[in-house]
Amino acid sequence: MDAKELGRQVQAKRKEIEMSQTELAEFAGVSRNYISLIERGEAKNISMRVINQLAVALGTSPAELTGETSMITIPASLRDFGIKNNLPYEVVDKLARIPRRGKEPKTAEEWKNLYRAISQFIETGNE
Amino acid sequence: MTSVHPGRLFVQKHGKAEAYEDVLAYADFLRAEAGLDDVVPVDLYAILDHFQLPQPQSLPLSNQQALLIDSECGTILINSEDPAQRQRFSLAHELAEMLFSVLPQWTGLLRLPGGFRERTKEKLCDCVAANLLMPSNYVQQLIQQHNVSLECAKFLSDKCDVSLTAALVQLARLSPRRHFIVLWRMKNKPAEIKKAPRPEQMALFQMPDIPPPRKLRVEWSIGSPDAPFIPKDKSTEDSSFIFTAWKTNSFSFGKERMTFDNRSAAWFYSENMPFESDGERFVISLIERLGQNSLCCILEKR
Repeated sequence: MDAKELGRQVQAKRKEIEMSQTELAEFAGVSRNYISLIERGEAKNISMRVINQLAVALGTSPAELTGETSMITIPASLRDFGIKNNLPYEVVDKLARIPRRGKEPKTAEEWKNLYRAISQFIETGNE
Repeated sequence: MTSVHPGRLFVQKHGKAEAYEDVLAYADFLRAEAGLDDVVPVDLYAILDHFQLPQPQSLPLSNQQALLIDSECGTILINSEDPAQRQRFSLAHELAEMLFSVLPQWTGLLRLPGGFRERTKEKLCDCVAANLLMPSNYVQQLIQQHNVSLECAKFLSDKCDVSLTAALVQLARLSPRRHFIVLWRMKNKPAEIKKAPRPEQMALFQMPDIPPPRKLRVEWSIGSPDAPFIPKDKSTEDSSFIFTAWKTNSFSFGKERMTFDNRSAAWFYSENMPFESDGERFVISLIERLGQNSLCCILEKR
């Protein structure tokens, strides 16, 4: 993983959604100084947990932040739901990707209702 | 026994799934593989059994009709609160999703399952579901015998165990003439809603609280390849057969001149059926754009 590329992506995404470093730090559960370090490409050995939390907070995927594959957009309402409920990135990503027939949930509450209905199927490693 | 992935097997046998026609051929493939001909109603569970796929699980799903929870094993969840015919269509739709799950998901940075945009993919899955439940050979024979009409759609709906709307859409799609289906709803245009004064503006300028008048407008439409383009939110005249059906809450039909493309009026024949959903009245119309030949047919029928 290229730390410089990660820094560039985190900063670009954060600015795109007009979020401050302090806000991002709060969402991702790390200090503001650490966000600053990451954005400058100077953070060493960043854990996957932090990258996942950054991805959820920024509404993107870890792969896009690290520049490893293509992107999938996580809706803001799903991101809010994920943050509020401390859901791991894998679950948020799965919720965004499941092929479904029906209207896409528009609010965090609607995502919550959907998650409640299907959580047993996406958390038990059914895949 | 282990399951066989129908999407993967289709790609292996068919060789590709790049064009619309390739994808639509998947419906015939599923029936043929399971040893089902064009016998209706199509037994979807025979298809699941043939591929050793698990039975779908039925449970209340918030605002969703179905989910393909595990595309590899074919685990499908169906909304138990939906009517039985919709559950059946949703199951067919998710079987179609299994094809897209084995196609390339990305084109560069864009997520394009099988090279199609997400909305196109959803429409294609609906078309595959419709072709699976209402085989095109069967429907085309029906059209030849009975012509495209609301009566014919009711017959198709009964025979294939699908909703009347699904039957109407399939008839219009496969019609050799210029048929299309429109769902009408009483509403404002999005632009009217955006332009409507906000409460604080009204307080500032003491503007009267006049909501923009609602009209009977196109909610969605779908038709045969030769059907005219119908703009979303296009309104219908209060004097039309369509509006009469809404106003009187009774079936209406007839031939009249209408303008759909904002350019020129043309002759159309429509059958219009009102219905209520969640306390709101809608009209579903089967409409044909008439040409010289079609006009003669209608005159002869009378």
